Amino acid sequence: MFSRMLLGKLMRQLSLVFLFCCTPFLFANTGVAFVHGTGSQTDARNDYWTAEMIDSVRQGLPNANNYTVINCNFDKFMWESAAAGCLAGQLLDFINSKGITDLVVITHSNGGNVMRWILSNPTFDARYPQIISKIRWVNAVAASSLGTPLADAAVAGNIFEQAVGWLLGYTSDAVKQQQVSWMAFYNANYLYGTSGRPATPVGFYSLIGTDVESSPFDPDSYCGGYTLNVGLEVTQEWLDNCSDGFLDCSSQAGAGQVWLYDTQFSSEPLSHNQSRRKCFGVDVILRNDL
Amino acid sequence: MNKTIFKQLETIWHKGTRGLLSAGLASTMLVWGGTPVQLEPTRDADLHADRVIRTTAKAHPVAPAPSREAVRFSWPIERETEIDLNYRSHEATSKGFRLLVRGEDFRNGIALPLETSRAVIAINAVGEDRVALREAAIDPHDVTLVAKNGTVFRGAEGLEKLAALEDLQNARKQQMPVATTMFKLAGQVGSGEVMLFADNMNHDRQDRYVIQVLEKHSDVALGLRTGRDTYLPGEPIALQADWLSDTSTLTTVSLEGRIVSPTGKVHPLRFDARNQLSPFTLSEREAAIAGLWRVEVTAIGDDGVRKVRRDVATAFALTEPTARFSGKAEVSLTKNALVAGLEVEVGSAGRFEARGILFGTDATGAMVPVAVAHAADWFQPGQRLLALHFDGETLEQAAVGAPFEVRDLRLIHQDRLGLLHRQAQALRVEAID
Repeated sequence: MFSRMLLGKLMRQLSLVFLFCCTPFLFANTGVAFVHGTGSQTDARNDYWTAEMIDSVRQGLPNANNYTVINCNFDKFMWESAAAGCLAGQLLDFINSKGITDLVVITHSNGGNVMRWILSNPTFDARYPQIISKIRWVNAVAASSLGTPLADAAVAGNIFEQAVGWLLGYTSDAVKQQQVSWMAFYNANYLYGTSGRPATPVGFYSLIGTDVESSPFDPDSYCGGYTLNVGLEVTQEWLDNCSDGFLDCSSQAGAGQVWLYDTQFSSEPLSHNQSRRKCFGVDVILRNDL
Repeated sequence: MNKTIFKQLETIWHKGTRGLLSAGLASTMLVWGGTPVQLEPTRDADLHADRVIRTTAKAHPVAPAPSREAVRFSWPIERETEIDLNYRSHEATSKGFRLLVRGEDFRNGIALPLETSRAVIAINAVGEDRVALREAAIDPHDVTLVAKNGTVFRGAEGLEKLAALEDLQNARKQQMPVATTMFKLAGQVGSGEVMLFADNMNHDRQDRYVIQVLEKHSDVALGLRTGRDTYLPGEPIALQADWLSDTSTLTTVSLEGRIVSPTGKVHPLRFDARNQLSPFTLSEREAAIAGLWRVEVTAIGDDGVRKVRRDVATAFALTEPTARFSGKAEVSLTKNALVAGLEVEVGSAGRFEARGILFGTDATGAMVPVAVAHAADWFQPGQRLLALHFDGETLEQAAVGAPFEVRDLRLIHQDRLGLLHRQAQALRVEAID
């Protein structure tokens, strides 16, 4: 785990050196895109990330207005037009309208899978190569790269005898997709970046949340919402000892290069809900990486 | 390769180059001097179709809506990248089991056969009416547990961790079924047969529940894998279920299973006296259904002291053979590029993609990975061509030369998400004069 992390950091530093010395980086027009996780969003800035998180991160840009917050339907399978197709459309609109030549993409949770679909299937859609050519790298926060046993539980919890309620919409396609065995299939056949597979065309760097803390007497437990953390502390029991309440650390580290564990920059762990909020300095880490 | 195909190749390059230029990517002019070659024979672990079928898109709904134009793309990969070409399917493992019960069962008590203490339990009301489900949800504070020794634990007494329903919903938003209760049993509840009761619910409503028990601290898991992760119609589907334990050896007392199609059709599985799966295949018609198939196995094992129950599920794909590589290919190796043109026999119209990994020989004589290339286009039925293009600059920077090999060659029906061909060692390119 540690060697992967060191390699990840080294790769990023080399990429940055290359960017400075070998490309007209100083003339690059840098932008950042925030890609949400599972769910259908219409106002992800406020509902998913929170404005304070977005506004903190984008201060790292030379032009703080060069940002976009994606709003797509990630309840769908990652390849669908409402998911990756929508994401491609919004990214390309942003690139074209702002003249972005150097794009950093920040994803959370299943947003990492949708982004990885685009990176791994460049011929699926003629827009994909255009987007990939502008991406510096992807910072995948708490990505569900290897799926989660909680998705398996959600699906299995809806199967009763011959009744297959999960097929009737009680579990979204995105949840089905994030079952561990399903992600193993997609990683082996349609997605790059996992062990034994080629890397994605641009760097995919993971930031990992390792634990959930929810004590009513600990103010830190209230960051991101206390009740959310209470729930995650119970769902964490369904997972490995190292998890953010929704994803095992192994899943978060399962694709691309490990960039950071929360413990490397904070004394407080990041739960799955906190890693998309302005909690324990994660916003500063992401800001300083632009 | 006949002239028609060669013409298509020119068209592909023309369109492909245009697409790449519009994407702002560097493009290398093709210098085509293709030398006819044959794909290597496929091996056991590879996937390939012996024939193609003609179907209509109307009969088989298209899941995604990919581009119609030709697109190609390639990128270099680090020579240290370890590429696994064993194509071994994923092994799902489980330390848990499921019980299917009705509301009235909570009045009489539900026996939980626990192998270890401190199990985690999720109870999910099942149904189609979300409002009714919320009403049917069980609050952990209303749970009563009776341990094997008769000790009664009421409400939170027997629970180490629990969450109110609304907390779980807040935490998981739409990712958790609407009426899920989850809690962890306290250590003092112990193992063996623990009885579960619930109060403050209408036991007569005939609500249905799935109880999932995860024995996280158990040493015994059940593993399940299919022979391959993708099958073509008519191919025998292989399953392997194994007990996994570091400390005990279990014999299988019973084994049951079923395969569920993406649309919910259930195929029961039959096992013989030695717990081997009886020959099982799926038909061409069923392969037209997009999505992954679910395999579920329930097993009871005996380690000589106690019986252990485990449920495990995994997934596989069933693909219609709508196209295949004919085996004919042409390669061109110049200082500008290495191009591998692959003849595709298309049976059903659609968008098809070839992808492969180029390996080259370095100064020490070792084969190292160099680059990945993809090429896709929309084809009508007939003999078509897809060409993988590895640019010369990448080869030069990688400091590799002939012989080259195209490994992990795949053919994908993109608009049906169907993997049609997967071959570990596909093409070898010696130096071409």
